[in-house]
Amino acid sequence: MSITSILHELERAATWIAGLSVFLAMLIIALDIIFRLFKSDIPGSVEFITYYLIVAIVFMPLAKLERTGEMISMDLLMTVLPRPVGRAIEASAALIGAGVYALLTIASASFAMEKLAANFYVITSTYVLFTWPAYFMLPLAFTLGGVMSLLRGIERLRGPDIPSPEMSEAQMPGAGK
Amino acid sequence: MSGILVGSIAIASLLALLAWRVPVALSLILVSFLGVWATFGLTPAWGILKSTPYDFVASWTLTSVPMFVLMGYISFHSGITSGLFRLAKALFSRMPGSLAISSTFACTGFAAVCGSSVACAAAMGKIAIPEMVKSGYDRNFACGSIAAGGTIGALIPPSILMIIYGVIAQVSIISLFLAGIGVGVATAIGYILVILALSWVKPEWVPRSLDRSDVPPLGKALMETGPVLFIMAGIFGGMFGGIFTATEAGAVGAALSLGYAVISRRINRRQILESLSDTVSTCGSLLLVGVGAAMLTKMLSMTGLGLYISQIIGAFNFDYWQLMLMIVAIYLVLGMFLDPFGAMLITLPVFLPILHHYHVDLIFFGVFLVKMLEIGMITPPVGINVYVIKSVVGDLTSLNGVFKGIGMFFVTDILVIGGLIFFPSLFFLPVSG
Repeated sequence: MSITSILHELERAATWIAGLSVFLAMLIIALDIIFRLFKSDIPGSVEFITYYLIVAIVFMPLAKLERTGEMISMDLLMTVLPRPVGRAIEASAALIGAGVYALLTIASASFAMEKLAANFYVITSTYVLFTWPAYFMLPLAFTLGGVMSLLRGIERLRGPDIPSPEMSEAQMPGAGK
Repeated sequence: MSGILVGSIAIASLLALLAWRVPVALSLILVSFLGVWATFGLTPAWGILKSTPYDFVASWTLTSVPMFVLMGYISFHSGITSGLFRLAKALFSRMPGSLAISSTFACTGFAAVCGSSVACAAAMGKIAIPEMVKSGYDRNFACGSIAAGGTIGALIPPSILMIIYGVIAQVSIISLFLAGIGVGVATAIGYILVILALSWVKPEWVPRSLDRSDVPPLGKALMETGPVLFIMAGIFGGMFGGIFTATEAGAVGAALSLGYAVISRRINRRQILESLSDTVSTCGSLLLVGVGAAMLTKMLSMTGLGLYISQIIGAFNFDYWQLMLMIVAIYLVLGMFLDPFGAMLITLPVFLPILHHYHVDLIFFGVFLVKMLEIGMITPPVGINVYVIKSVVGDLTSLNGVFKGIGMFFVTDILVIGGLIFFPSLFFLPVSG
């Protein structure tokens, strides 16, 4: 199995986790409202969604966003520059991006380790919810995003085609099946 | 080096990185980190870099963004809102320019389910433009009217732009939603007046009558649209009646839309997965910019640049209207080159202290800002809605053709902006100070 394939599988898995988190958040909130009609609730639902699911929804798709170039950016220069110059700029931008991801990875990993050392948790209405594992999603997502950004930069330097053939579909796993 | 000098260099570097096509989120994070490092040393800079991403995102209020985005994508992929256009046709078929008026009405209705201009323009473009062209409408006008109509999406609640503004400016999202209705409806009325006027002045662009054989009976159209109207009523009723928070309203809306789409067999497994995929892509790219904006706010505050800029602008003693016109000019320029979320999140950390200095009501400003950003969606060269319409219609017209078709709608938008600045009470908004 090539490194690209492994990265592709990791990216798919991360996107799956994010997609599943959206679905779960919707389901939990909707069920909680139904339970409310019967003077009941799902204990710790707000805390679980706030500390785990929204974090997964936002950070886990970073690898996919970097691979497909869907990050919000400004296209001012690209519209006026010759294509080879534009490609060189895109490559350098992707490499700068990879550097920022590296910083974010180290910083968020050290933050996660601090939370682990403190055995970080929140107290819900009926139980204790350990939240330190959620902090580890960030270094994982930033690492994947950084690697994808780096690959995109290198591919841009080498030629116009960014993604490898097996990575060309910007879809959820199974979406095209 | 003084904090203000460092802050100024950081802002200049930010602009350079943006022009260099470094993603907005990463540019904001990098300059904020370096700005704090240069002023106060590595420890506080590292502290901000460590904690801000998680602390900003882990928010119950922000959870409403993926919920409303999911509702929009489910509506878009399943086409459950397509009946709105037929309902509007049944209602307005006797009016001059009825198809264009119907599409504006349908855009407003779609916006109430979706919250995204782009999805609104794409969905309505597919349904309405072929029918308008077939009925004798000018191609450029047909495309322009839908591109402009799509911008109503961000003003009528739920609005993703307003949710993110509310989180950054720390104001009530439900108050923003309520305030947005007036401006959204005023925009829709303005567009309808343009269509009516053109149907008299240029009937070759906007036909006065419609072949009524294509118009569905009102009862049938109502039956078809009933479930969507029920979902809209549930969301708005629950949210404005104080039964739901915005997040809960989004989740209920997404669940009801999905449930209806599944039961009516309008959505398959693939489309559900596409909706989830599109939702996480949208939220990831948007909210990472939010993380960057939160870091920039901290950097501007710590270096003192934010306060310094507001003091300089305060020293000019601008009148309220001069300040607002200056802001309009800045957003018109930014809107030409930047995505609305990028433009909003880059500028808010700078503008918020100025707005506080001038005692501008932040609910009013939120709606005003969203209206300005939406104008950016239809102005060249990077009018996103225009590109969306062009991709929907293919070779039917050129990009320039769509921009030409927008002309009169753009004038209407400017009139609405003027009205917001000089007569805010007309839009039932809180009067600014």
